[in-house]
Amino acid sequence: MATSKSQRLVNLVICLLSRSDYQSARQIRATVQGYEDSASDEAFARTFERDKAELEDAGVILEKGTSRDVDEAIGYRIRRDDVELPPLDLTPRAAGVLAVVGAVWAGAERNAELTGALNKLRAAGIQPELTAPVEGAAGDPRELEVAADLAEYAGTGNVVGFTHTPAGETVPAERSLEPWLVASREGHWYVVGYDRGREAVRSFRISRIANLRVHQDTVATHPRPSSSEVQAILDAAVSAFDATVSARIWVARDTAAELRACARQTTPQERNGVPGDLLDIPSASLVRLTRLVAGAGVHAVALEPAELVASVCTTLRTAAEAAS
Amino acid sequence: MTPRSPVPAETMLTVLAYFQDRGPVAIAEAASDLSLSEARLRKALGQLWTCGLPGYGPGELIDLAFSSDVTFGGPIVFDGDFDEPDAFDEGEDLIDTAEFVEVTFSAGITRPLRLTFEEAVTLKTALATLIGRPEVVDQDGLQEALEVLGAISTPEARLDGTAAAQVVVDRHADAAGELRAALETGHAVRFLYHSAKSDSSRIRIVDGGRVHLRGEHTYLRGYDRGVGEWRTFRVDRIADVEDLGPAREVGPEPEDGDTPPVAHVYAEVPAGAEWFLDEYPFSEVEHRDDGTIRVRIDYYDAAWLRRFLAGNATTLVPCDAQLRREVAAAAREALAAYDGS
Repeated sequence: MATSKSQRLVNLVICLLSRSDYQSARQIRATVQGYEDSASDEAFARTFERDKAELEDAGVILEKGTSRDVDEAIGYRIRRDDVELPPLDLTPRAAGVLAVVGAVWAGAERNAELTGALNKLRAAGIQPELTAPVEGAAGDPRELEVAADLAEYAGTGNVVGFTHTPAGETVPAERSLEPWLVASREGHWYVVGYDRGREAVRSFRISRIANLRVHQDTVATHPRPSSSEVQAILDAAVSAFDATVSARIWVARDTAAELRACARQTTPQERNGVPGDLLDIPSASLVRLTRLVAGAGVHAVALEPAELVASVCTTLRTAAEAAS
Repeated sequence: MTPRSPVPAETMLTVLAYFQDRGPVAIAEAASDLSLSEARLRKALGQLWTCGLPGYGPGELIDLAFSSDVTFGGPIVFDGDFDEPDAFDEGEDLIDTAEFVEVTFSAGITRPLRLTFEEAVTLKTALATLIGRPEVVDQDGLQEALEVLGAISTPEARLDGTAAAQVVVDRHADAAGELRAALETGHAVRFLYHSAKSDSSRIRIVDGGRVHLRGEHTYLRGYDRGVGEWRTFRVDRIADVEDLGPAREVGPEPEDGDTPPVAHVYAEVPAGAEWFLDEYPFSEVEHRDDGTIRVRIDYYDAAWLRRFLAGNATTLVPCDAQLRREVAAAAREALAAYDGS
């Protein structure tokens, strides 16, 4: 029965793993089942090159060295430590997390890579098992796809191009970026890097990126700061997008449930004779608090900080003027 | 002529490593563990059976043992020896029908391959989306998984999630963690729920709860003892979670999970505020030539709609004049509280 390409590749891996010395291509052709069909030396050479490339894509690196073959000096072997998954020590708690991630990202754009990774971990004896019932999807699959693509390009030192529509604008702008870091903050993905067009470090929210592509012929050249410095850049950028504030807000009794959900402390307090509570909110988005306070109308009054009071007043004035 | 490969080589290598040191494994169980259909797993095993070390004599080919019943008579029914054509046919047959399989000789493949760069990046990205969501996964377990992955994948994968959790409000994190812990044991939970829909804060007791993720929000779906119906709760509005011990039996869940929206209105997003479309899932979005965007807002509750419109007044203007006047009147009334500020 003829040997399929997959079988030939498996045979090649088994052969090169089993030998400590380097095997020449000629020796490989003679011993590995599947190469005997090659019609000519050229045909074999082409097939062998393709097989090597395919194995490298799968993470199997063929190490080059000097073979014992007197007719052909170049040989190959596979070092077990380079290609085998090292022993893993995962607690059941961490394995449970892997099960959840598999469940909530199933069917996303990068499903093949995700299941490939989880299957290898299962093959290594790790048993990810769901401990609690979880269902649904963890986010926009497109956002995950773009985030993972950018993370890859950050790792390989590529330069990428994309269009980006900033908050508050409608016309997408073309960007050329050397990506450094992909990270999530408050449920959203961001990429930080060096913007070649603006000649400055910039952060972008990934949901506002479109038409991502890699510039094949260019490599990233701008010096990359340390990981903690890049993190600090992102934190600053995210808080500029949407500041996190601590706030004090008065709410009327039995109203403003969403604001109450943000509060750490709730103290009964009357305001102009109306019974209610003073909410102490340690940390929340300025934008979100503005929406909730303005939306609650007379039932909520922002007391601190001044920026929250100002943005609530702006929203209320806009609403008041919209009637005309 | 080289025949077409029914299964990629990477899959075959993963399958082979999976069976290492496991003894006989049920085909169905292995297929589920490896996210393969049974038919595909059987194909992979069939392909592996004739692979092996150079020499291809006995003891050098990968060896499989098949069985249809692992408890009686032991697993080894057929020991692959391919020299005789009859035996080969029998082997093919067994691959298609056996319920258990054991790899008795794996020709030196004892471990799965390392994760490829793409696999590691994808897994890390997917894991990082669960940072700061203690209601979904144990955060210590998540950090541990990310650290272990860091050690087994290429270091170039510059993906970070480690510092992303700082913004979670402590009280919420506690409530969410307790909620998950209770659901893990299948227990009933009691909690204070701040409902945005009805703008009320009430104690709820839920049986048969499970976590449901929709985008960046997490929901608890379960049977509400108080109202006697299945309900959905947003986890970031849950506080003071208490584990009530074993849950009561709950009846079947109705097919249509959520109550359909009762009504809808149209509103306009001004030119330049397109980013606002990210913030709320509008059921219809129409871009118009002048740059403005007409959106449809579905809602259950008229009071909620008015709160939503007033809170987003800078980016959302209702098309209906009467509704606009009502929202404006409420806003003017509210502004009185800030007189002089």
